[in-house]
Amino acid sequence: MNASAEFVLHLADNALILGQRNAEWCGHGPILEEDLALANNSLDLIGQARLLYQHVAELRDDGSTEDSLAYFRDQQDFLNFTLLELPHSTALAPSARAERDYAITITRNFLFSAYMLLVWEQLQHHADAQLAAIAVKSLKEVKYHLQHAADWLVRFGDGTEESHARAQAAIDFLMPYTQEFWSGMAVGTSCFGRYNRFAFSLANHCP
Amino acid sequence: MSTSASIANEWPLWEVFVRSKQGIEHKHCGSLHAADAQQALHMARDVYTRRQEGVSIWVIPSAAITASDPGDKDTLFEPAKDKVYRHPTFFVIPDEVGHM
Repeated sequence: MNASAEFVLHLADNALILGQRNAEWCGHGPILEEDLALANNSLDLIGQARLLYQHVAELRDDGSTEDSLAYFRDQQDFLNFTLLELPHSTALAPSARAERDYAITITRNFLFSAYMLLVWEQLQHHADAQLAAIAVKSLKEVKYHLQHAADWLVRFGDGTEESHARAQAAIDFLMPYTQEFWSGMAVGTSCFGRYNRFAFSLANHCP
Repeated sequence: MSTSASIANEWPLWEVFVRSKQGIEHKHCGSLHAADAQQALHMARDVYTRRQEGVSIWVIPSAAITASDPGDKDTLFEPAKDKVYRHPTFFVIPDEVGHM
């Protein structure tokens, strides 16, 4: 049984939006090694997005392509979690163009990777063979994303007063957005049923 | 910040060694700054194995390396120059052995 096109589209949008957000650090990383690490992270996510969009196009079989799905939809049609589209700045930043805060970037990557590790672990047993194959590939990638983010988050917490305060502010700001992971209210009430179906199908495929 | 203070605050330097799929030994491929060994490993993965260069990484604090003095080059290495017989090319391999 194939997965629903809308659920796969939601996974694809998540990967694309966070991939693009993290790519904003390219050439602006706090240190060269982190610049590369974030670019690697982005390329993993955009690679996942491509496979997922291709699968959506297959499932829909309506002439849509990975490009039409990624680039030619209106913003309100995107099904990504709100968490992933927030700029790299805290709630108190004067505008979306405020300076990027690496604590936001790392904390968001931590929260989303921790969640996606669970999702991909389940989806690798999905009856939809194509989605299961994407999950196997993505699971390896997300494990590293989580390691990377967790390593930095602990360093921020144990580091200086400033790094600790920034990491705490990032957690305080971002944590409420993780409600969407569990409530499915991210994309309006019409989606609630979809998410419930997903929760149901996940339960069916628990090993 | 004065120069000496910024040097004091800098993360230590690590030498990175990567073993390729076909290779038996880890080969030196560069160096990077990192706060500790774990972070150095992460960074080495992101900087030096992006193009499938390796299957294993070693990181070693640069400070732990004892190097020969370039000024001693002649004393250390010149004496070997006229001892070409140390190369195994002087042995004649019998035909029966075939390709070695």
